[in-house]
Amino acid sequence: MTDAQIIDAIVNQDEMVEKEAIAFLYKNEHYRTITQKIARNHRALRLYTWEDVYNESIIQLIKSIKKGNFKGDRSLLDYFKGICRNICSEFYRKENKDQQRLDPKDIPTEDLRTPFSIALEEDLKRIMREAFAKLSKRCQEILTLRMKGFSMREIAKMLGLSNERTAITYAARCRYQLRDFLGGTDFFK
Amino acid sequence: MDLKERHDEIDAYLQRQMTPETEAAFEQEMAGNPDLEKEVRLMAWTNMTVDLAMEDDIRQTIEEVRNEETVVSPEPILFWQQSWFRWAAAAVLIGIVIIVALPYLRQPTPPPDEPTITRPQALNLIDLPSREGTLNDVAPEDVMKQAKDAFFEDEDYAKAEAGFKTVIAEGADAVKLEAKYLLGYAYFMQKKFQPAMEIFDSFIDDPEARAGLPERYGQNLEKLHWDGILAFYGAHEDDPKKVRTLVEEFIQTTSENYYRNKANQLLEKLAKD
Repeated sequence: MTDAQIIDAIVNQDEMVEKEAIAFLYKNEHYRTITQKIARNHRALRLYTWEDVYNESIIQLIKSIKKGNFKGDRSLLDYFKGICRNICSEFYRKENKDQQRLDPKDIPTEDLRTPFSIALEEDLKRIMREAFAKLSKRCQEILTLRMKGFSMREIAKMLGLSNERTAITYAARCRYQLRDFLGGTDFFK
Repeated sequence: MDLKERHDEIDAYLQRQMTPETEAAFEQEMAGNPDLEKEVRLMAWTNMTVDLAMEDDIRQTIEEVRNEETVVSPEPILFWQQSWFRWAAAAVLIGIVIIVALPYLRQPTPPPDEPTITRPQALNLIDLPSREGTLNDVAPEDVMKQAKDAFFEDEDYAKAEAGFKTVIAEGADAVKLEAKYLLGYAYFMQKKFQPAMEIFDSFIDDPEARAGLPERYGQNLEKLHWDGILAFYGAHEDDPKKVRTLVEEFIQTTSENYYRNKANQLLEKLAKD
């Protein structure tokens, strides 16, 4: 599969096609070897193996493609290398602050814009997962589509809503709902 | 304006879809408007929640892919696939091996006077670069030549270190890379493993720097990886587990048998420890 085919398959809404591309990436020996080398260079890692780095890097790569963050200005493999290095650093940071509790208030906005779930504590992830699961399927869909980088106009069309305005209002309502499920502003106290 | 009305704008900011100018203006406004700043944070968290859900979906797909890999289709078991047959085959095979190996086993074992690698002698596992073919030094008074004499002829690595440092600070660009490379080995030989490792790593990470080295010792990435591991070994005597992991990974991934053999030697040594 070429880079373009992989990207097409991942942003495609067909689950089977997407799974095929993910399997291709996940089993790709070239990507694996690169990860082994990068993890090997990052000798500071103690607890995490190259396979941990690989799993996490593939997930972040696929997520970036889905969100449209990969602009195609370099090869997918080069982009992957960058992700891999960041994941190594993120694991290293995590290894060194395992005892430190993550406080949402203290995270700079800049970090919130480039989220790495590795940094989140399991408790926090559990709260977030439960909150998302409580949303209606429709709300989950609209927020996920927005996260994938679709415009509100496109989302309105895809979900059969009357216009862009309705989609914006609907998404705002879903966000407030999600915020309530997360514990409202108490989440930050 | 109601902040709810600005959700799409905030979303565009969080997803980095604004132009640099709009983004700068937005950040400026946010700095002077705590309500907006708070709303951005709250939305960042809701976005992160959606992001995590997306990630979970991908994780699940990868898990499925991985499981499919290990699924074995049920097929009828033939007699040579049955365990009794395998045990019998293994027994026959072991018998053959013993018969073949018996004459060799009867020979006296060589006296155990082969040099074993002790930790300080881990230095023995490194191959120092050869001087042959590097002709950058032009005059006897040249600092680079003096440093290389100290390194290659006198094995005075402290003097070599000082010389290479001078070349890096003041020398011509053409020899700076070479001096840095040799400085790594000068550090190593003085058991200054941490700075040695940093130099090896800098060459591993920088293909252009490697390409700028004299061909004789500049191009071998596997050597640099191996020497980096030796330096790590020297610097982390107290963490043999980590060293072992690194060496095992190296053995799996290296493309050169020569370094794989050396890595195996080190692994044996670590196992004895």
